[in-house]
Amino acid sequence: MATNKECLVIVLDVRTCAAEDFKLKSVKCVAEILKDKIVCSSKDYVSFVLVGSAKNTDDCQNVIYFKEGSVQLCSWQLLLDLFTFVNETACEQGEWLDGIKVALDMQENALALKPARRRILLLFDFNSMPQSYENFNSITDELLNSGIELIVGSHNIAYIDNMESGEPQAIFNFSRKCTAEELENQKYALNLVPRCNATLCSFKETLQTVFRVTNRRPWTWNSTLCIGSKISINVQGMIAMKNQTPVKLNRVWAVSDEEVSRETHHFMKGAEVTPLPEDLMTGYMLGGTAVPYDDTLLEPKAPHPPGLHFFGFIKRDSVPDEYFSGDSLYVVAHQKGSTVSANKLDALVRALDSSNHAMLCWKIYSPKLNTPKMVILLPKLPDDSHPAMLYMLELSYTSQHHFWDFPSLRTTKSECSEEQLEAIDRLIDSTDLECSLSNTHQPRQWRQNDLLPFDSLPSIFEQNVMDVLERRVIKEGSLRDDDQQFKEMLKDKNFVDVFWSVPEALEEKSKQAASTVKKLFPLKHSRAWLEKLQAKEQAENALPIKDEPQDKEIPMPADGVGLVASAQDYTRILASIRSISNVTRRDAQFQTLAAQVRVVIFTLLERKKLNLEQLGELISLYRQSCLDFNAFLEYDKFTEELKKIVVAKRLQEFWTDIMDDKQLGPLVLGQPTLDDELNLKAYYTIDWQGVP
Amino acid sequence: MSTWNPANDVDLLSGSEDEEDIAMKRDYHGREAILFVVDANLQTAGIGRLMEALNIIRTAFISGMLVNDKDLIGLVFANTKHSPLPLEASCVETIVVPENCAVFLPLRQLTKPIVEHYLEFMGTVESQFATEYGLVEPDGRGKFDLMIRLCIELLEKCGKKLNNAKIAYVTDVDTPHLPSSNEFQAALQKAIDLEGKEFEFHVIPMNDDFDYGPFYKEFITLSRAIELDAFVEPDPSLLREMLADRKLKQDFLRRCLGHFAFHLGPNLSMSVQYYNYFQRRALPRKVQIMRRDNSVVSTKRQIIVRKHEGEEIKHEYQMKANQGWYKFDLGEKSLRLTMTRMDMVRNMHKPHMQLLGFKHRSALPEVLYSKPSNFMYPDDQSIIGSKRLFRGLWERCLQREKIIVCLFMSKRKSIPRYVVLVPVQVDKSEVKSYRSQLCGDGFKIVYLPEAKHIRHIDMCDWNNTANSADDEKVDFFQKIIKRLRIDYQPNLINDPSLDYLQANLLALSLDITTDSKGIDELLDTTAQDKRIEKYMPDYERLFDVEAVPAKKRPAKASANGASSSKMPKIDMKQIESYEFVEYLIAEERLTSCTVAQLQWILQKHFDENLPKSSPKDRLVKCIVALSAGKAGT
Repeated sequence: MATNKECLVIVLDVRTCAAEDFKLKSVKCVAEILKDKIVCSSKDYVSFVLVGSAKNTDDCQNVIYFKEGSVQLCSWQLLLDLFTFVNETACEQGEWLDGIKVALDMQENALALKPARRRILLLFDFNSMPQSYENFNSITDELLNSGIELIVGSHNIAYIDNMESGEPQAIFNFSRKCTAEELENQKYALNLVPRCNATLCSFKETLQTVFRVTNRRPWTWNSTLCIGSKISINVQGMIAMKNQTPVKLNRVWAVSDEEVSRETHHFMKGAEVTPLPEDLMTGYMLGGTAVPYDDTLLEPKAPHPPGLHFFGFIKRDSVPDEYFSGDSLYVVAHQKGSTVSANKLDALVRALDSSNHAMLCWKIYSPKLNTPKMVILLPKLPDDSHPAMLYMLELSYTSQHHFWDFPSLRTTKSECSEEQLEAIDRLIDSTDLECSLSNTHQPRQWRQNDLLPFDSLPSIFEQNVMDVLERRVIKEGSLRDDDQQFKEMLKDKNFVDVFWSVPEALEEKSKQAASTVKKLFPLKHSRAWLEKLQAKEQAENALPIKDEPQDKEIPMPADGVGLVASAQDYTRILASIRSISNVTRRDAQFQTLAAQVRVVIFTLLERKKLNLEQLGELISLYRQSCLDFNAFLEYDKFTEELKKIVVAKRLQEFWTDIMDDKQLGPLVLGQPTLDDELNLKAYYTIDWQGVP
Repeated sequence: MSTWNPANDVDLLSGSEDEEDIAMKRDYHGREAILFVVDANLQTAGIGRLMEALNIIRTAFISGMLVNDKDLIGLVFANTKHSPLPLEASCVETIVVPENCAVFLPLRQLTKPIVEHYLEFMGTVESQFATEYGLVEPDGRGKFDLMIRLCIELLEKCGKKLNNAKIAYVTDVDTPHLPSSNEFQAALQKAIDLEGKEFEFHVIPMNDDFDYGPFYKEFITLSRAIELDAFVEPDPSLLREMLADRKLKQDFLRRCLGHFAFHLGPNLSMSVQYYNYFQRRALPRKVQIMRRDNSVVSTKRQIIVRKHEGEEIKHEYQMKANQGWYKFDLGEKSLRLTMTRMDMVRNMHKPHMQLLGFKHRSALPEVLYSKPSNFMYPDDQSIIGSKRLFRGLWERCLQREKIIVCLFMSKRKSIPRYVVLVPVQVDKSEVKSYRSQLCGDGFKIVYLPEAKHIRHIDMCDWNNTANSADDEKVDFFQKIIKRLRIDYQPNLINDPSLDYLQANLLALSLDITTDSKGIDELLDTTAQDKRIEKYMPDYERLFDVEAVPAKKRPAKASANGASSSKMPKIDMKQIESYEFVEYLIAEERLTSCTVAQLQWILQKHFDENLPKSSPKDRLVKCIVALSAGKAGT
């Protein structure tokens, strides 16, 4: 089986002379890579090498590798191990070429795992600490020959456009003074690019480069494109863009020894019925009437032949892109290796492009997924990187279309003054993502001459999920883990707002322009609308509670009240009992729980050293719940028994500090009468001298 | 039991993001209603025009039944002389039916008997309509305000909660009352009532030279609370066509997917609303019914958790889908992230849109797709003054060819998405084409794919200098394109599987046969073949015959688990020709042949016999050497 798994060895700089900020950033960078690989449940292998540790490997000084040097599958445990690993004792010395050498050895050993792609990521501070470059040529040759890709990430990286090719190129930022050693180091780092096709990038670009992988063997849909019955082209469809998250999380409903099933239940007029399968048949609603529609009665038809069946050539711009539907964009290329089909497709694409036409086809995916779908094929002319291809998109049908009646925007009431339009122009100019960078010969901090390139937009939600999971893993073991704390964590973490603003470089200017616009355009929140909104919200919130109180029940926990965290157990079980809507069942459940907690209290009293705090909490909880559930008699009986035990075991401290002090004696209904007061006093008083 | 295995339930996290969830939820709180009002004046231009109107309503009835089974539909005649009672006379008891109006069908969910009754009525119209309903005397002008009052009353007393009520008035009289008359003023008063009650009013002209000027322009703008100069005059023939599909131009105020605030900067935001261009594919609702009496059985899927202890079931309870949790492992330990917490992560922001910056129109690649685009229009209701700011921004972007890059969270618990706002406007020259129906002035919201949604494919295995075709071949396809050109119209493309199902349902229940074309007919290529017949010799001359694509080993049949025997990658027939063998050698593809095939090649083309046990690479080397020798001689 061909897989696209990769083997990535990351070389980290931990030398004491490297900038602290740099080291923090590089660990963060590695953590991001690992997190991504974990949540996407990739089968990729990774490992780490540290340059600048106090320990040595066999042949390299100050370089150590992670866990016997074998590569690892990604897991949360590995992330935690990494955090401990980078804190190994460090020293001044360390050669990055040694690091790469060790990484190359690890790659060599990992060959047995048959990775499709092998990469080394070097995160190094090329500072003024001198390095030896004896082996530079031999190591770079080895990299080039073994086909291992090298990515080098560092700080002080800026980008300029190459004079000749116009492509962005990474350089070191010369804005500050560099020592001769530093320049020497940087020279070699820059030299890696021509020597072994390495990619040199800033931290942000490093992540992009690591995540951006090209696939030589994509999944393909093999098919034929037919025009009439004679012209046929063998093609392969491939997904170019798909609105699908790579994050995979397992969703479960039960613990491991429980069995989960999804069952179909039938209802007639609200009452559950259990019809035999043969009693049921399929039908469709035609207005208020159900029409029986038995698929089996209709003649079974032979499936339509799969493929792309030509429907018509249309003008390229006659189909509005508003009608494009589906969740993916395909490209259709000729069948790999078939020159005849390549010829035909090439001619077709060129003809479509020059006459400005597109093509409509019926797409039938396979004999099994046989529903015909209308697709539009748009030409994509060949270039150096790809042959002639067609874009393929699904089209919506006329029965789905909406026809709107939008009043014209240009009315006298909404007319803007010159001044207002100027303010808007200023807002547009000061928030321009491209123009502010028009001077392309100046070094810039980002690769592309665009503050927000369309091909590298982050996945905000996925990033948040990853961060939340990471937080959970790191915090594992800490005691508090409730929803409140979780909420605080979400608030405190600034990932919430990081994406939601104008890019930093433009922020100040844009803010000023926006405030001018604000001054010129009178805007007022409508009170009527707010009130309407609130009323609607209330109505919506009120509805479901009345509807389905049944579903609010919290399932009964399987365990009972334990001896360790008794109070917590008790509160938890009590909450689920309270949620039972059936009164009789609820009372019965409470009786069981009460019996359980009484046994627990008596058992706790048996102990040699009493945990007074725990006992006090548990008894007062129990007392309060008896009040709530009207279980007065039972509690009275319990207090009598309790007193007997206390007297028998002479638990004076418990009695005065807990029972008397916290007033945990028998319950009194309503305002206590004089009799009640006297009885209570009698209960709390024990004549310890008189006890034998 | 289904094949669903909860242990492997991989949640892709995108479950909550569904454009139309809001719309669906709202539909749950009320139904849609259409009240048709037919002007009896239609009979004066000949019974044909009236029949045409009734036919449109018939198709509307049927298509409505097929798609939105819960909708309420009613029919009223206006400007009649008599007021005959509807079939169920009792249902108009609580309603005051004014003079010159006749209720044919109060608002009802359509059923088979109702449609049958309507079809029966249509059969009698030609002979009996004039006598039974007649036309109000002397000039065919009944009171418009009373007619509207009746409609409002019918809608209000329909007994169901409505969320979207429309009145469709089918007429050919463009001036029901003269602008100076008292009746005109009374009618305008009713228009204001309609606006207050959020009932939509549509007029469907049955003649093409209909003039909105004297009456309807003012009436409609009042009933929608828009300015008089914002009124766009629709094309009558298009309206009729759409109505037959039971589509009315949707009122922008009530049919949006959601309202939200668009933040342009700190403290600067305007209120906007967004819409979809097309809805989810709507099929007739599939149900389970009892075989004996056709009664509907509703089904619910429930998640049941059980714990077994030996044979015995220790406990059993039902779980709601959102009560589960996400499981992930830390070493041996399994950790949880509950759905509620995931919801908190989703809910970190209120639904809104944040401006990130501007780019030039050309920065947007020609083909970029992530999900269907939406349309954005200002909303002056929540933040007063939004419309003017929106217009300013829109006009400047149009003029300077700018697009706006934003981050957009469309509703609660949804995933924030990067979007581009592209300014669009109605082209006045296209009023008669379907494009004018698409939307209006505003911004198109184009969803951008995230970096991880873009797949980078290295096409080096496809690239070959031999791929490119010469000019003659391109010319050939130019000719084919010319012969097989069509004009795109959205109604050209219907969903064949839906058509097929609907035709069957109508035939089964109402005995109506429709001339729906099956998909087989759509895939029929005879017409295409005929049009390009004369170019076929060129085709055969220009392009070689396609090599039979290599057969793949069929995937492992899951039933028996064993892998099937190896299929030869190269066809036996092909290696019979020596040229093909040479081609294989040149392409270094001899290894694709099986050992038996290589032996066969050696024997056939080179008269060589190697021992049966020879390994493959030895056979290949031998063939290459022999072929080189052959070429040398």
